[in-house]
Amino acid sequence: MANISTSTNTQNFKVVLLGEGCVGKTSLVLRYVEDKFNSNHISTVQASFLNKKLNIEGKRVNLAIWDTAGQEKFHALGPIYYRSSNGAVLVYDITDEDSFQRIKSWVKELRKMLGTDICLVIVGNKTDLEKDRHVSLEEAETYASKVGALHFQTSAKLNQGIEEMFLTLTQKMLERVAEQETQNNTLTRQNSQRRNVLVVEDDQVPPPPSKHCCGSS
Amino acid sequence: PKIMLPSESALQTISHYLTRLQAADSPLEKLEYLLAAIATIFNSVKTSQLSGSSRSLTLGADDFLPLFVWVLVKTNFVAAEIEAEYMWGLLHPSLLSGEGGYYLTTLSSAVHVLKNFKDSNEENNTKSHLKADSVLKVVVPDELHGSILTKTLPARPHMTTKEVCKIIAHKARITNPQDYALYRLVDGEETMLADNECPQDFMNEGKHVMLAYKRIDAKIAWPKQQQSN
Repeated sequence: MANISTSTNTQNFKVVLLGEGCVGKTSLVLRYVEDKFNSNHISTVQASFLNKKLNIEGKRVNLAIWDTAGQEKFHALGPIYYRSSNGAVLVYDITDEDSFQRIKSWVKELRKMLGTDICLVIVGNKTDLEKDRHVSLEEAETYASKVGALHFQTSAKLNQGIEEMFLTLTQKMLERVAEQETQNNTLTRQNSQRRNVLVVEDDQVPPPPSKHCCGSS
Repeated sequence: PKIMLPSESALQTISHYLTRLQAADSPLEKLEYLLAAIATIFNSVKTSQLSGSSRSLTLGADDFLPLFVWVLVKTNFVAAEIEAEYMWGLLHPSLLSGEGGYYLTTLSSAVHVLKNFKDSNEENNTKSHLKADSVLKVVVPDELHGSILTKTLPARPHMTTKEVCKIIAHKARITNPQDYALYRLVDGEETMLADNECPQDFMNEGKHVMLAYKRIDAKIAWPKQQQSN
């Protein structure tokens, strides 16, 4: 794994996948990085954490895609996962109005916790089930632009729109990083992201226990 | 698709890695054992559909997290939280955005799920009922100082009034317990309890019931509770 903080010219991004269970977020990301996998895989395919390497305009980018458990009862775990993410892919099912409402609560939470540091993309999946659509494209697009998020429609089944969605998100994240670098040359995102390293001298009183890394309950 | 849980032998392998994780000192070594345990989980889970051999099973976080929680319970990995904290505190931040960081996050999440498990199953969990049953709160008016004390006592199931009185008398250092009795208080109204009644029975009815232990002759103006619900 490349080291984020060194000057290798690979840009590492952490992207978190959010959305209700059954909206197909796992299939979506698996479809995206599938070429990494042997289709005749004997053992179980690990699709919780995936890496995708991209080359955009000569820049090497590595996306670390973090899947999250979408069941409502796991909602409280969100902050542990989206902490220091560069991007979030919020997936809903176009045939399921509730899954779209769920996205809205994620957007609110992400904006509150991470502000505009994080690039959001709202994704309406399962366009292959157009006849059962319950979330209108217009409504979703209006909402996305209102909250400053990108909006895409995809079909993991037919492999439509996925490549494009991740590509646009990556470009957006690159732009964001460039903005931040010009804004503040001394305190880049990567530096602020690093957790404090405490150096304890032998005769020093031990420091208070380090901050709980996995957030409050 | 239904998934088949890891077999006993797979659990043993996982357990073995988790033991070695705990024995290791280096946080990096611990992380490697965590990843080895996780790889074993992934390799041991199969689809229950025997015919679907060509279709491989995909495990996203929706399935993996509950599965991992189950594994933690089965392997009795009680040190999970402290081990996770150790790694969070000592691993280099650059490692935490990758796969290692992801599964360390999963470990912390699983710990979080287990610690909050009781709350989410409040309704039909017998354990939580037992917990509510295991203590009794009794208010004891302190006539000398004009105040009311609340005594909490451990209670065995089906304790009688007589037994409860004995414990409180001891706790509150009452030297003349024959002058005292246990009362049931509902909206400021007292009802004396007979020796063989079981106070826990009506405490679980969910109404605003309180238990009071007082001198039989004492007249206490109990505050009336508002009946908002």
